[in-house]
Amino acid sequence: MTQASVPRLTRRGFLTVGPVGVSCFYLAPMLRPQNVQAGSLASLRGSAEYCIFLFLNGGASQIDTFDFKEGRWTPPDFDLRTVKGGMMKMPFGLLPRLAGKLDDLAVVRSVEAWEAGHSRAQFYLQVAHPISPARRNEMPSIGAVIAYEMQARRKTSDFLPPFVSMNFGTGGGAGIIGAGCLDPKLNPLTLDTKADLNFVVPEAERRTFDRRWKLLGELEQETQVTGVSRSIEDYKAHYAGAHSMMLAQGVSDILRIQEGERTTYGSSALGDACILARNLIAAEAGTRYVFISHGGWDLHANAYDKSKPLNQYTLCHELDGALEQLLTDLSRLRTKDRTPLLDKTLIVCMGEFGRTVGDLTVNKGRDHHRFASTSLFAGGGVKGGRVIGKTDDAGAKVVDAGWGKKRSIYTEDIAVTMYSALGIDWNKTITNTPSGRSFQYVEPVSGTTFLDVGEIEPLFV
Amino acid sequence: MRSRAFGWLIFAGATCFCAAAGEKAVSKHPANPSGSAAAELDELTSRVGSRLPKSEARVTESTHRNNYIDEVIFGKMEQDRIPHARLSSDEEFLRRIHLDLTGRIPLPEQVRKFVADQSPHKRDRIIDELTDAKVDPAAIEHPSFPFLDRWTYFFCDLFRNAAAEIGVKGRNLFWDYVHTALLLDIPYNRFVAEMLTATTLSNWQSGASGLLARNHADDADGLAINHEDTIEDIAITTTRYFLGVNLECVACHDGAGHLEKINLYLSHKKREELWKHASFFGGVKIYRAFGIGQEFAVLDEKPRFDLKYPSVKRVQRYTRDISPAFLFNGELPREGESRRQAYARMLTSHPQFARTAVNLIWSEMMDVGIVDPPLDFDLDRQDPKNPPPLPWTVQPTHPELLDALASDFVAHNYSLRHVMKTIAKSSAYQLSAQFDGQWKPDYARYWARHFARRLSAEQLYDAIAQATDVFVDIPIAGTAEKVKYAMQARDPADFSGKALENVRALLADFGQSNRDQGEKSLASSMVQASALLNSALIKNRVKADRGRLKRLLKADPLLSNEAITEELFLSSVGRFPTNREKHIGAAQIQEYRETGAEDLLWSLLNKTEFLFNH
Repeated sequence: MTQASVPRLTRRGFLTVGPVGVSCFYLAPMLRPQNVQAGSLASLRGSAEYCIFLFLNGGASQIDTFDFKEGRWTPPDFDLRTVKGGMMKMPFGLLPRLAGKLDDLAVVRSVEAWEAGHSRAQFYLQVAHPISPARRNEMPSIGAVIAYEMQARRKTSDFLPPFVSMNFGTGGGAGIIGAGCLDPKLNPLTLDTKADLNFVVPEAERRTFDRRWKLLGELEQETQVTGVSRSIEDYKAHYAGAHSMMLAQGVSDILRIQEGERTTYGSSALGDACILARNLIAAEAGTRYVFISHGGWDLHANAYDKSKPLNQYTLCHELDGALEQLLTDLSRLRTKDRTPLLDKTLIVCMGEFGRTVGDLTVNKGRDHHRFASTSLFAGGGVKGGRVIGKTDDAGAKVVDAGWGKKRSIYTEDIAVTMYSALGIDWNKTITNTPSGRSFQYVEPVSGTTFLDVGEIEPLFV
Repeated sequence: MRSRAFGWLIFAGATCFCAAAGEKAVSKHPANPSGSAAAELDELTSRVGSRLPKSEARVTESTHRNNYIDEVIFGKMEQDRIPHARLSSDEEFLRRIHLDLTGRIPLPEQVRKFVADQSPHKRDRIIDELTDAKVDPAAIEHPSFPFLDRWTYFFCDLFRNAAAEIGVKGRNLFWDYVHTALLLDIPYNRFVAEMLTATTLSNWQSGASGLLARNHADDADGLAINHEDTIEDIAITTTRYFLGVNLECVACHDGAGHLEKINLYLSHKKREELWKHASFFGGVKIYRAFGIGQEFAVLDEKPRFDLKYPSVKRVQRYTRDISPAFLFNGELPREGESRRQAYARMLTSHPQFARTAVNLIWSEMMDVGIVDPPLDFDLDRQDPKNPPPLPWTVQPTHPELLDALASDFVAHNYSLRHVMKTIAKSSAYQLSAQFDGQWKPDYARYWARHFARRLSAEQLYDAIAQATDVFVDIPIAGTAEKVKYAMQARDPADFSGKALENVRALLADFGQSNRDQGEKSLASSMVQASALLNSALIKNRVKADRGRLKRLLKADPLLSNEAITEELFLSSVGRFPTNREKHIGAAQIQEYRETGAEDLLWSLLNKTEFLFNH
């Protein structure tokens, strides 16, 4: 192998980033692997332009939400009702608003996870590959692959980053997974709605901000560190970029959360993130994939205890308000060609695994359970108002997968479904990774198990 | 037309933002067979020559060769006729040495004192002062000494010490253990051997057991420990931390057919050799003594490494009896020696042990390792007398220097402090980050100038707190202690709670390690820029009614605007302002009084110079 074709990687990002002009978008070609080859063309649905992944961080209990199983453990105020003409039983007390939105939702009850530990399962969910210590840093997430594939559809007027992640900070575990061996510009823009959105300068502070910016300019003009290192040049480009972003009225509107709107979205971090996701998508200005983490679902203890800050009631209430309003707004808003935005936006809502069933544990909670969990799908061509798949009476095991394949649905299939809806050929392979191991967007194998991966077709027909 | 221009304007910025936001450290494979990483540094930089004040009067005339490091570094440059930067100015040096040794920027009075000092040995003296912790037996439990905090944080990041993994008590004890080892400058070989051989009924009782306990690998159910995965992890991480070789790849498959282009040495290694290496820990049993929680017993109980046991992390192992043999030379345990003792002995006495330690410290102080990344050695590419086949080149930029540093380390009883001082006292370390003349990418591998790098998340927060003199208590979980500096925290979990929300956000934005899968990152992003420009944390701390600014504005007798400006420069960027800067700053205060002073402090915190260690 010649020297030129060996991808050169170092531990510091800045070493691999090319020269910087005003904007780092005009970077020299990355010394990073990006050649992607398609084995054979997959048949693609192409029904969606955008995707919002609502991640129920920690693993939501299937039997207390959308695969409801009543038992002696069920508190009466869950208010179990049969909704939508007998379609399903739902804890109306927990999810009253979504109970009225089932027309938009497809409920898939035959999902299994490969992993039952958070860190590994969350990696799997984001990358659709098992975490491998040797390859961990080079594997791109689904979001980064979408960002990469969507580059071709990027208009010159697009100004928003393709991949945005919200509320999934450095709390532990895998955290948000970015571009891996792909171009670092495909890394997500990470926002924390609980902290300030620093890109928005409040109107009242605008004058102060401008005065300070001017002073900073004068001081930088007088003494500045230039040419001392690449990292400094990179940083200056980011400064200029951040500043132009902050000056732009359009962006500050997109990244603003109006107080009145917060209420309709349930006044939670999840609701705030959904408002921003809606704005980012509705701007139709380059954002294609929004990953939102809703933390707290890991209810090992006191799951039904209302006196605890996080419990089944609070979490469901947050999800109920945020997702319902998001669906409402996206069906109301139109794309530039007058299609309801929801028709062009695939929404996936799920945790990394399910939870144990039956009576609560000694800790009055539910533990990790990978053999059955429920995922919600909406928009982007998905036909709502239906339930796919069936679990046993306890909700612990899939008894009917409800799709063409005689097995449960796995993360790989969900990835294929997302890629297919977005019109992305998931049959591709990145061949020149740093480790030399090819990276298939979706691998037809998990560990040593062969997997005939495929789209969850019944969602769309 | 208007909307078009608007689009481009934002386009320029917004795309930037996805360029580096959230970037993690890249692959650990040193996949560059021909050049050193140092050579890559700055390879595309064309604009050269900082306009930072040069304080010529204080620059040492010629570059004096202070120790053996300089003989090698400057000798090689002389031989190859490579020009190099001048020696750093006193102010440049002082800020750098403070950041590198203590993680903090210097205080204004420290800058004044140092600049005024006429002694020719003042640089050596400040290095000794900053490094040598005074042992006060009364306060031995938590002596506050910035040097110890900074390097304890460094090793706790390396060992991924985290409450989430080994419990708050375990984390605190492990931190104490590292802190004490550094305080007493325990020989590094002893320090490491102790961790490798620690035995305890609970890691909440023994700090030294933290390293092994931290490597527990949960089983699929998340409660029981997968013994085989655990001991593989212990073997892999300890080989990486202490011998600088990354065995991850050969933990799943033989090197042949995979690693030829990545690591020549490892391409000959077999998976079975990794198992033999790991089976030194086959007799260790790590388990949750109480069934749940993060409290672990670390005991020598289980007889061996059982390959039949399924892996939840790696490609399945196949059945075979495995007995221990050291991966690097096939050495077997001696008669009467426990397996772990044997491993600790072999590891700490291997020449690569000292080389890895000195290279790691070098990299932390010089930004790039002599072998880089510092924990990715290719052992077949170390000896210039026995060079690897083309296109590979010898991996270290200065092999003789790496050996010299290692021998010196061993000769000084494995004193980490000695290595740090030796590096800091060299003229090579003290070169300016500025380069007069035309910089060429080739110069980088010679260390022809100092390399600038961004302050780490913790360093940056601490610098902001210290420059503004506005601190907030950081309560240490599991203790009654409250600290002021982020670098004193035991792990990122200490930044929890409402009061620290802004601090936590800043640290996350600037790439703090979460000590799990998320590694520390010094990459830059637009999110970071927006945080410095517009976060509540910055806006609140530069207010005139608090901290340093209040003190300066309310001083009695009243300070001149020039004096206030000077003090703000000293406390943030660690140098005196130029005349023009003094004029600009004073004019801003003159015009807007308190608001103007706030503007100035805000601007200084946003100066690139502030954000970088240069």
